[in-house]
Amino acid sequence: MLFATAATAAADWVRIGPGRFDSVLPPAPNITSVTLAAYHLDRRPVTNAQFLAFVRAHPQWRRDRVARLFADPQYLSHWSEATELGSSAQARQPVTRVSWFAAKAYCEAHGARLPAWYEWEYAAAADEKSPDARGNAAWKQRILAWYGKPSSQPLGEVGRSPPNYYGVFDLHGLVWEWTIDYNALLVSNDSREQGGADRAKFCGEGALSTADRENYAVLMRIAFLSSLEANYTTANLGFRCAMDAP
Amino acid sequence: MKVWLAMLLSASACALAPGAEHEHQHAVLPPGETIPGESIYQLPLKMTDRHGRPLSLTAMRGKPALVTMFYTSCDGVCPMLAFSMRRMEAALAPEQRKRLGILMVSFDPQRDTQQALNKFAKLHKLEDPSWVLARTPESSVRELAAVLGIRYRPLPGGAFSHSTVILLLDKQGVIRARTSNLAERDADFMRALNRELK
Repeated sequence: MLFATAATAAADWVRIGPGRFDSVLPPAPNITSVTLAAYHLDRRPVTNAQFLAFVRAHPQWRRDRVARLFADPQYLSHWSEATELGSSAQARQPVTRVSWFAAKAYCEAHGARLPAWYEWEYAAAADEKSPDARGNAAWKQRILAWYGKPSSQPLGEVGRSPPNYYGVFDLHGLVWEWTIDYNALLVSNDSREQGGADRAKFCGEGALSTADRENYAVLMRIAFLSSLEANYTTANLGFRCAMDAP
Repeated sequence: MKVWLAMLLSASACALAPGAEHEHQHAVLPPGETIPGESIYQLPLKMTDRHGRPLSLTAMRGKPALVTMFYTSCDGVCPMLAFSMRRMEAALAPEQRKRLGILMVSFDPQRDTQQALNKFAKLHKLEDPSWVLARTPESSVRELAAVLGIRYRPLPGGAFSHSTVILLLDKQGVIRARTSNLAERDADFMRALNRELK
């Protein structure tokens, strides 16, 4: 395992799994449960300060140097300079306005990778006390409330809300997060509408599990990620890294 | 939010497999040459063609190109992708055809060996040298799909669910048009193709 040497980038991981769970997004129509190998997950989303250290060390990821293919014009636009946060971006706020390519490059520079969706979903099923709180209506209501809040307020700092069962902070309630497979979650219907032939339907019908359809918070994550392109950045989209656990 | 949910509940969803990732580097070019920032040739992708020859994405530079992603064990839409591109090619004047590159990259590096790609090329009459059928490691498949805006999802049992899109690149690798209409001639797409081949 490689960790960044910069003090600002000191990664703080927890080991999760191996595990088996029923995802909102079943692997296939007749397969509901997902098996995960053990993995390490960042306890907190990556912060402005951490990302700044990365950009300074890897200048090709400066907002004034990055190729448009890898990040849209809003990339890091809330920073005052290409290599300065300035007054409107706080060091301990989660970094946002980062593209998938930029997030992926950050993780790879730290010997890590972006988490897979299932890794994110598995960790995010936990509340403070139990690894799977998805049957807890009050908890679900609480995390859902965040999605209804206006996003005009400044983002909070990472790690300020209570950690979940695994010791992971901010999976809910702070920012949206990239996953490595953001473009693999939902495949648009166009592969099934060609030539009017039913044989083109090679992705199983039925799609999402009905068992957990009331889990809107997670469903919204999937829908949001599925609407992104790899160079998109938004004011509420950040990321954290993961690693295979040895 | 309503739109998302509607999309979510109507869309289909299958499996995914986490892929190994590689170190990100930027494309290396001969001195004095630049690639536009939005060009997909910014991606330093290493591929292998069906003859086993190494191929970088930037090797496509200099010619407008049709690009798609597919896998050979797909018996429905993928042959249609090839068929549709052949039809586009056939609609061109002979001297235009010579100036067009065609690239099909597999989603499935595990099964789509050199032999599998050759078999597909033979079966679907894609053996002309202007057609490049290529494979690239799983992490690169993900990056290429990302820059092309292609959704794909490995399913248990070796199939893939994927969006079927043909993209038109200009000679610098900038996406100029895309079509998902395989069943019939897409007039807008053909106009864009003719424009690039002028």
